[in-house]
Amino acid sequence: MPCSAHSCFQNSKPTAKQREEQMAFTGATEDSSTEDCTSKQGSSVCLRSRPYSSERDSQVRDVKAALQSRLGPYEPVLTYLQSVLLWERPFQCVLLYTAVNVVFWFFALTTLRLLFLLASGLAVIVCVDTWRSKIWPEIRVRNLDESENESWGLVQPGILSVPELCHHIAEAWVSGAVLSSSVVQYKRHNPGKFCILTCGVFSCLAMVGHYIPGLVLSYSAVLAILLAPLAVYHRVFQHVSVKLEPVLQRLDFSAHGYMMSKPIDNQFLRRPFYGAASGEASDSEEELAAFCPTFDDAIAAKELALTDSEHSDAEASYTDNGTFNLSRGQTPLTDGSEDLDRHSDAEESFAQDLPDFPSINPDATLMDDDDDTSIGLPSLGLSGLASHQASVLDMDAHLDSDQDDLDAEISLSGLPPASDFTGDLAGVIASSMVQAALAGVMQPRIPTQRRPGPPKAGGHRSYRKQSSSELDTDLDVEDFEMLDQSELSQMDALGRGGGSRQGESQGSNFLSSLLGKPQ
Amino acid sequence: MPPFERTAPQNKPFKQRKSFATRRQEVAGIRAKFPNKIPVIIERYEREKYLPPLDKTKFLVPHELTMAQFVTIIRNRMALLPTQAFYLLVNKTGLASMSLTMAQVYKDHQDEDGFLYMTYASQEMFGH
Repeated sequence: MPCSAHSCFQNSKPTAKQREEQMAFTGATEDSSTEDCTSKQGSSVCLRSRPYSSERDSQVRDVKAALQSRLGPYEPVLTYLQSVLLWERPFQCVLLYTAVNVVFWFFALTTLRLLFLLASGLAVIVCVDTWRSKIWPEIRVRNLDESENESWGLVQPGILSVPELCHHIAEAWVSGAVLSSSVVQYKRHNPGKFCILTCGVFSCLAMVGHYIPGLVLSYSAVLAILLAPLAVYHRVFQHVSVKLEPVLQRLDFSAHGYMMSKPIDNQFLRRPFYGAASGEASDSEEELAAFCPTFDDAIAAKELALTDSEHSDAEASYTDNGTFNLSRGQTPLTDGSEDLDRHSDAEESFAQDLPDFPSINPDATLMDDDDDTSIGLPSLGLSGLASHQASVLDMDAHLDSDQDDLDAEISLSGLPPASDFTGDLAGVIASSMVQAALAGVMQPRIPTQRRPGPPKAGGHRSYRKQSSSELDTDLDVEDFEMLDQSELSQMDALGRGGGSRQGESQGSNFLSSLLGKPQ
Repeated sequence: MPPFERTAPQNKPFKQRKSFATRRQEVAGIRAKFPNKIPVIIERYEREKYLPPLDKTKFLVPHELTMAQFVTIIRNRMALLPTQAFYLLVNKTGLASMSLTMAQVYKDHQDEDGFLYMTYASQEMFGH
């Protein structure tokens, strides 16, 4: 703890020195005092500390001022040291690492006795102190004219300046002091508990020390100290936590979510996608499954909360579709059961619901396409398709092709732009997961619906797609569409500015109709 | 020791504290020592009420730094809250574009002594 040594050393000295200094400058009087005042006020306003204790703030401020007055002249050195530690000067950094290693291994492998090391170290410290207090002023006289002017502040992006550094050190120091005082308090009030606690902690440490050699421990500590600034600078911790968050969410989700449904169903529903996505065939199941919880759990909730307030139909994005689909898939359980009855004949209902499908050509009927994307899943896959190969696909091909062909086409469409395809894939998989959950719920009721194998998967997919488009033709969606068209015509009259607002209202209408739908 | 020498002379502006020749010499010395840094003088506007004083007046700034980065660094140095306004006026005349690099600002606004003078205030304008 270098800071503790520093501050101990400073708490007494510089404040006294400062006071002396202020006494010396009382000639300046009013001006300086007002400035002091404002500075005090300013710093009290500006300090970025926790608001709860002003006492702590003032402590931090004191320590910071002491540190700053001490470290101020060494700003160039500190900046240099920081840049070395952050590998901005690779050569010096390698030098530093080598030096640290040499020193470490010297102490680790030396045969010298502890007392010798202690005594020689103290001798060196005394010599340095003498140098600084007696000899250094002698030398300083030589370039007094230069050093009389103030030192320069170094500005370097990405490196903490001395005031910031002082602030952090002061924070750490004060919180350490608070912690130690509270520990002392704790010990005074309940010594028994304190004894048990410390014994536990120290026996843990003793166990660690028993099994791991001290050399390894201390070397790893040295390396950690050397690498910690780098890790902080590159925000490794934040990156790691961002990476870990989906996994944690998935764990959280799997506790209560779709894992409740039978895993066999999930696998079997996902299998056709492996076959279809030949480009992404190397994806492991875990990787694909990792898409789902993020869609389902947190992001879906977030997006729903967002789309409640600011959903614009013009910008109806892909993730919106995903969440809409999810919410749709989850809520209407009873609708799904009747869907299953109705869609046993997939082709018939497919042809029947074709008008509700979005048009493949996006620029011919752009507005309708947008509306549809905000409604259901079919537009998700198909509008994605349309964006890739609008010229290749036409409506007729879909009219006489059955669902398996469509699957094949989706797989083909995945080839050109990988990013779009993975997005589509994620959405399709997410919705399929929900459908799997649905199917799992309904399996006991309709056992005949379940047929194993890839062709069956096509049937499932058709069921899925058409169930969502089927929902569109329900009563509540009818008035949704009506409202939609009238609003659109109004929007044309009003212009662009009103459009977004109407989009919002439309989105919220849709949501309210969606959420308020009777089960 | 040098740390306390800065508290006293901050009452007067830098230009009045030192003669032109001294300043010029100082710039020459520092430019020789750090050829890729720009010497900048940052002072508080004399009637500024809300912003705290900086701990240093003279700064060495890399050429490629943009004004935006520079302002951010200075703000951090003063530990300003996000709600506090902070304006950096170049040469007491006006605001420089935030996208300019320090080299460009220095080229356009450097004083004849070689320093680049900046004043900070919590308001973006003042008369003089």
